[in-house]
Formats: sequence, structure tokens, C-alpha cells
Amino acid sequence: MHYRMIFYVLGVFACGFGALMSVPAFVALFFQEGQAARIFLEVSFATMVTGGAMVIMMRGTNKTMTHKDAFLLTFLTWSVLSIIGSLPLYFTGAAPTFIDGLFESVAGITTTGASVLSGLDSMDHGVLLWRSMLQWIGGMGIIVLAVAVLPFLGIGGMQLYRSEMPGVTKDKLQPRIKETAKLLWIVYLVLTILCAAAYSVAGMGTFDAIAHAFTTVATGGFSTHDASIGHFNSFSIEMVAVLFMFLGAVNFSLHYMFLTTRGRVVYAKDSEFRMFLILVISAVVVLSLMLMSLDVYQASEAVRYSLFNIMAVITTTGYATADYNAWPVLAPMTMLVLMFWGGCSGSTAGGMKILRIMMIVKQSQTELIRLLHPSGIVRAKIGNRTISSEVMQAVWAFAGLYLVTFIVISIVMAAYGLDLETAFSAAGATLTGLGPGLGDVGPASNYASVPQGAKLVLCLSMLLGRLELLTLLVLLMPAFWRK
Amino acid sequence: MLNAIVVGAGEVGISIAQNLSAENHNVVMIDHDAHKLQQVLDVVDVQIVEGVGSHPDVLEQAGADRAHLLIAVTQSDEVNMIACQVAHSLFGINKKIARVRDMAYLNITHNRLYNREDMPVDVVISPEKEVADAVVRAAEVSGSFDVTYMAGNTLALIGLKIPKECAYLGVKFREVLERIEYNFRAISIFREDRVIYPRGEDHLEEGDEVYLLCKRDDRTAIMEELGHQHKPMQDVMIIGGGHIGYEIALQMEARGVNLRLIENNLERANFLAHHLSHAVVLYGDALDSDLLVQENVSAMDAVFVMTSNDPSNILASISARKFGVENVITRVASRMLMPLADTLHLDKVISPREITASRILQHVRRTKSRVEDLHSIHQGKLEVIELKVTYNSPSHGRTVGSLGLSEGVKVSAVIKEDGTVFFAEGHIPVEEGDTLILVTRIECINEIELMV
Repeated sequence: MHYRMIFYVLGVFACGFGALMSVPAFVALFFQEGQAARIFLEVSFATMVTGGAMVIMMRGTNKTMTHKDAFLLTFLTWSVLSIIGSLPLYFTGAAPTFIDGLFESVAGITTTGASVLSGLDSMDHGVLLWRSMLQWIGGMGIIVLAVAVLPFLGIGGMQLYRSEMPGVTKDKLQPRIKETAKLLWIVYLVLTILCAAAYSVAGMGTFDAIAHAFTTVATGGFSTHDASIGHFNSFSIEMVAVLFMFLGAVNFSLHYMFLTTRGRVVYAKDSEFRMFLILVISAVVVLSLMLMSLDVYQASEAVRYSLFNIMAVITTTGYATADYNAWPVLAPMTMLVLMFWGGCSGSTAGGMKILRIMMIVKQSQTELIRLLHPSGIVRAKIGNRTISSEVMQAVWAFAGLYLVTFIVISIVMAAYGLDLETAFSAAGATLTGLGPGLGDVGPASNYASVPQGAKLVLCLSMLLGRLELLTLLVLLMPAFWRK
Repeated sequence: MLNAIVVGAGEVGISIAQNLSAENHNVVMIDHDAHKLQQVLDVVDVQIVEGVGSHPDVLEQAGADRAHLLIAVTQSDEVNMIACQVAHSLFGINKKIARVRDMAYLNITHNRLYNREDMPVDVVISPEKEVADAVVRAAEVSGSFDVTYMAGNTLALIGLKIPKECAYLGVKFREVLERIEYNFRAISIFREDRVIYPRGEDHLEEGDEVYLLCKRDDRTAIMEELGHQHKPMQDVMIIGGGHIGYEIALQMEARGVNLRLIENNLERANFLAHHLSHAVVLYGDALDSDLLVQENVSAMDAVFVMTSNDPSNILASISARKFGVENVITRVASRMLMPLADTLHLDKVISPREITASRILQHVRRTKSRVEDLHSIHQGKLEVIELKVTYNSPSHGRTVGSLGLSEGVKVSAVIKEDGTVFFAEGHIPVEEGDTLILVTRIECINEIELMV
């Protein structure tokens, strides 16, 4: 393990992160929130000094990076930056305890969007912006950003990129990893700007539009209001949110190809995208029919609420316009299933990713066909490409680990005294990056009431979900630490 | 910045990709072995495409319509050639380089095959031929493991190990240059895994791997000064009669050298006996010391160990050394075994991979610049570059000392238009028409275009 190199890079990251923290400081100054501004500036300064000191102490290290280094560095980056990100939340008093601050920060940076804060409507603008920024930075990935910006992460950059990027296969869009990362961030930035503009046109104030654009495209789900998007009670704002949540949950390489090929129909050709669309549409149809037939809403409202909330759940954003917890039981049940599906691979969404689910379904199909044709040669295919057995094994292993992790965390939650519904949904909603769960942690309430120790476990759960388990679990292997 | 496609993720392909990527070119690599490609991603910053490199759809996927350059280095000659053909006919790629191994494709009389109308391969690289040439060049200069001639064959770039007989061990370079009457420059020293550019106060140590630049005619004299006695080649043994061994044998026969060639495949041995005129072809195993004793290996001036099996090459070389042969040249293909050969004191190791990659890069660089010639030395850590100064070169009208080059780049020699050679000193003027020999660290290579 090249610890010097790891700490050097970590120091550089801390400097950059500290610099970003000055943005909410100036916003706070603009809104004349003197105390918040001071705290943000202080933490920002302290972070940059510490990071700078690390860089200076570790300078001259060689830049070779092994697989192991990349895993450890990814873990340390996400956990250290989460801790730094929590400091202003705690010091400004927005979060009552340090653990609450940490939970909020992790929920931000992992784009989970599970919150412990209430009274958002009267909170300092600096704090609100910082929460949104955390989600935005975490959405496309801290390391992807670093690879795009920092010149020295060459080959090692690829190792890091793979340990952070969600999805089954991690394709390069460009021969150089730096260019690939840059493109992803450019697409991300463009989407964010469009989203902010659209919100603003739809009637949001400038600050809200920017803060929500950050968390929409990142499929994060933090809002600047306790009632989330429901606060605005505006059909057009909801539709903007639906559109950009959807775009955020689509594989970014499709967006990139769409932009570079000047609008050739790349989306329709992608089987994961098609499946995503079909899923959303059928879920909306089923749910709105149900809401109508049970007389919860009238036709137009039923479609509006089910479309928004299904999109918020399947993209694991976690905005809310209605308390679906209170809808007939099929609704929360659907939500629970949908959040595990998540968005497309290579997107900002969480969950297991649609591509993985498709692979598992296809593989199961081939097993059935094999029963009918015992000597048939059957291959599982996505589009017209055969799924290689190596990829298939990796997907199965991932699915197994996902299930085990979900169960273990649920049990721990139950041990902390949460009721069944709350325990299961809290574990699921943090692991998949959705945010609000069901029961006591449903869309109408939040995680404030969860015991402190359980919050720490949920922090871990969020990190596990964002880094897709393996990157973190590999650190638990004794063999990882052996020389 | 070039867009390059490298077909074949073998050792040569990876070497080339590493070099091109280090020079900020965009590289896409094609191979049919997905597993191999994944490993490539760990060592090179390139994009990968899985598939057969001669298939049009695969090339299209690799961005052939935007590519400037295609390098085909798969195991199969035919795939390499077809890849060039497809690249030319369907995608109009400008420069196409193919590795071709089979001598049947390389026959001089059939060379007109390779032209834009018929088989559009711009450069045909034959590793076997390149290796054979390198072996012969190195064998001619006793004590060297690498010899290349630059600047129209007037200068020799020689790689050698400093022997313990060297009279200048521990003597400062400033003094060495004064005491040796012939003019030369030591351009780099490889010592303890590090490359150093020697200065006046540095000195030589036993076992240093040194590259020096001198006039071609002075080469043996300087080598003798440094402790390598010159022995003209009269009796030579070649172990391994594959493509390389056969090619060397042909060149040696042309020089009238007494030749013995050991080959362990009967059929191949018959072929060799049939095609070689004077050489004694021996059917047997190179590790059989009875055979070596009977054939009086200890009396040989040089032994070239050229089978396709690395470990047995290393063992055979050690045994030839044991019998007292000084000039043993060993072919080692695998990158992994290179350091091992070094610890076993095999001084003259030739790597087909390095030679091939270096030759291909030479052609790549010639496409876009004033670079006339280029050689990778010290396992690709440094490049020696021959470059023409033109009227609008930044260096035109300045002196060597005032070029503003970084630490990683050094001017070694200036050759005037009339052929006078100046080994570089700060005050020597550089003008249009001069040829410069520069040595650069691989990471500084882009600087040369800008500064010189």
C-alpha cells in the first residue's frame, strides 16, 4: 500500500473540497447570514490548510497506484469528505448533534437524500446550498471530478474511476480517462444548468431553482423546504423535476453520444433505456389506475401524483409531493420494489441498476429454456450481445451481497428497536440511495427519530450503496491488508 | 495529437500504446481477447474495443473514420494485412503499419505488393529481420549490446556494459574525455534502476550500462579504450535456427564467417542445411554440453542464442559464458525475464518486443515532424532523436546552450551540412540545415518539437 501517495491525493482532494465550501459562505454573506458565513469560511480555511499541509508533507511521492490503493483511497475520500462536509452543518447548529450532521452529510454526498433536519424553510441559505452542493458533487462522483481536473491521475485514474463509477461495465467514452471524466462532468453540468433554467421558468425563485437543480440531476432529493417539491404545489415544477430526474437516471454515455452524434436516436437503441422507460410507464399506469379505482384521487391527479412519486422513487431521488405511505398498501409496496431496481447503470441514480436486473431475468429465462431443450445451446443476451459468464457471475455475486447487506442492516435496525416496516425500509432506502423510506421514516417524516447508533449504521449503508458494495467490502477482507 | 488504432494487445502492442499515450496521442486498442484487454487498462490509458481487428465493424467502433494511424501487430500476418486494407479502403486511414513475420511475405522480389493500389501497407515491419540486423550490428562491435548508426551512417550510438578491465573506473568524465584521444559523448548511464545524464564530475562504475555517441570510424578504438578488446568475428555459433537464426546465418555467410548452427527440430535443420551454403547445421539440443564441447564452443568469437524459448535461451547463454565465450547475445522476449537476465550477468540481451516497438514508433514520429530517426534506449526510458533544423525551427540561429531545454532533454551532437560533427558544447551555433542528435526522457519528448 502506498500510504504516502494516498495521503497526498487525499490532501489535494481536501484542498479542492475546502475551496468549494467557500461558495456557500459567499451565498450566506449575500443573504446577510453573518454567523453561517463565518463558520463556512473557517471550516473551509481549516480544511484547505490541513489538506495543504498533507500535500506538502507527502510531496515528492511517486504516483504509482495499485488496485488496493485505489480501493482504499476511494473509501477514505468518501468518508473523510463526508466528515468534513458535516462540520459546517454541525457548527452552524443546523444539525443538533455531530452524528446528525454526519448523517446529513453522508446522505448528501451519497445522493441518498435521507434527512434528519426539519425547519428547512427558515434555515440559513448557506446551509441549504451546502446540502444541495454535497449532493451535486457526489452525484457524478468526487473521484470522477478529480480525474477530470487533476493532471496527475493517469493510469491510477482508471483504477479509481472503476472503484467509484456505478454499473456493470465501466466503458471509456474517450481514449483518455481524463477526457472521459471531463465529458461526463460536462454533460452533468449542462443538464444541471438546463434544469435550473427550467425550474426558474416554471416559477421557482433563483435560489430554489439552483439548489433543486443540484439535487434533481444528481437524483439526490434534498429540498430547501420541509414539504419537498410538494411545497410549490405546481404542476409545471413537478414535470420539470420528473424530466430531469429521469435524465439523471439515464446512462450518461447515452447523453454524451446523443450530443456528439447531433441527435441520432441513440436512446431507442439501448435496451436498458427502453426497459427503464417501459418500467416507469407501466408502474405509473398500474398505480394511477389503482388510485383512481380506490377513489384516492381523481383521474388527472392520480396520474400526476403517481408519475411524480414513481419517478422520485425509481430514480432513487426521494422527493415527495404526497405521502404515499398513506396510500393503499399496494403503493408503498410498489415503491419498495422500485427503489431496488434503481436507474440505469452509469447514471447518478442508485439501486441495483436496471441492467443488472435485466441480466438476472435473462439468465433465469435461459435456465427455463434449457429445461425445455436439454441439449440446446442457450445464451442470455442483452440487445444482441451475449452476456459473458464472467459478467454474469459478477452480477449474481453483487445481487447476493446486496440482499445480504440489506438483511443485515435491517436486522441491526430492528435491534435498535425500529418497527418492522421502518427497519426494512430504512435499510432499503439508505442502501439504494432513495432517502425517505416507509413507516416512521416515510416521506412525511424523516430520520431524526432514529437512534444515534442506528444513524451511524445507516451512514455506512449509504456509503455501501453509493460505492456499490464491492469497493468497500473488499476492505474487510483480511487478505486486503496483508503485505 | 494523433488518433491511433493499435490492433493486437500483445507485448509489442502494449509497448507502442504506452509510448503513444505518454506523448498525448489518443489510442484505441483492439483485441479479440477480452481478458487481455482488461489487463491493458491497468497499464495504459487507452480505450479498448473487443473484436477481430480486420473486421470493418470493429474498426468502425474503434473510431477508424477519425483515425490518422493504424498499427497492426497481432500474431497473424494475414489479419494485420487485411486490417491495413480495410483501414485504407473503407476508412481512408492515412498511415498503416503492419507487422509481418513470415519471410514468404517479405521476399524482396515481391515487395511491389505493398503499395496503395494493391496491399496498402505503408510500412511493413518484420521483427525477425529487425532483430537479426540488431544482433549483427551489436556483434560487430565487441563489448556492445546495442549499436545503431545515425546521421546517415556517420555516427554510432553504442550501448555497452562497463567491464572491470576498464581503465577509467572512478575517473571523472571531464578527465576521461581528455585522456581518450577520440572524440565522443557518453549520453546516458543506467545504474541501480536509474537513468543519469552524466556530467563532468560524474564517473564510471563497473557494471554501468552506458550509451555513447561517437563517429562510426572511431567505434572500435573507443571500445578498446573502455576495456573491450576488439575481436574480429571468424568463428560464430548460432543456437536456434528459426526465422531470426536463419536471417543472421544468411548475413554471417555473406561476410564469410565460419558458422555453426544448432537446431533441435530435425525438419527445420534439414531446411537450414538445404538453404545455407557454408554453415555447418547441427541437429541437437543447445543445453547438451557434450555437443557444445565437441563443437568446441570455447573457441567461438561469438555465440548468438536465438531460440523462441526464453528460459532455454538464458540457460544456453549461461553455459556458453561458462565455456569462456565473451560475446554472447541472448534473445529474451518476455518483459518478465529481462531483470533476471540482468542478474545472471548476461550483458547482451536483445528484446524483439523493444526493437519492434522502437522501429514502429520511429515511423509514427516521422509522419508528423522533422524527426529523421529515433531510437528507444534503456528499456524505452530514453529516446535518442535525430532531427533536422529548418529555417523556421525555434533553434535556428541560436547556440546549443541557449535553447532553453528542460533537465530531461540534452543535445548530444550537431552535424553541420558539410558533414562536420561537433559533440555538443554550449557555444556551438545551430543553424538551418544542421542535424541535431538529442536525447530525451520519454516524458519530455513533446518539448523537442517546441524548443528545437
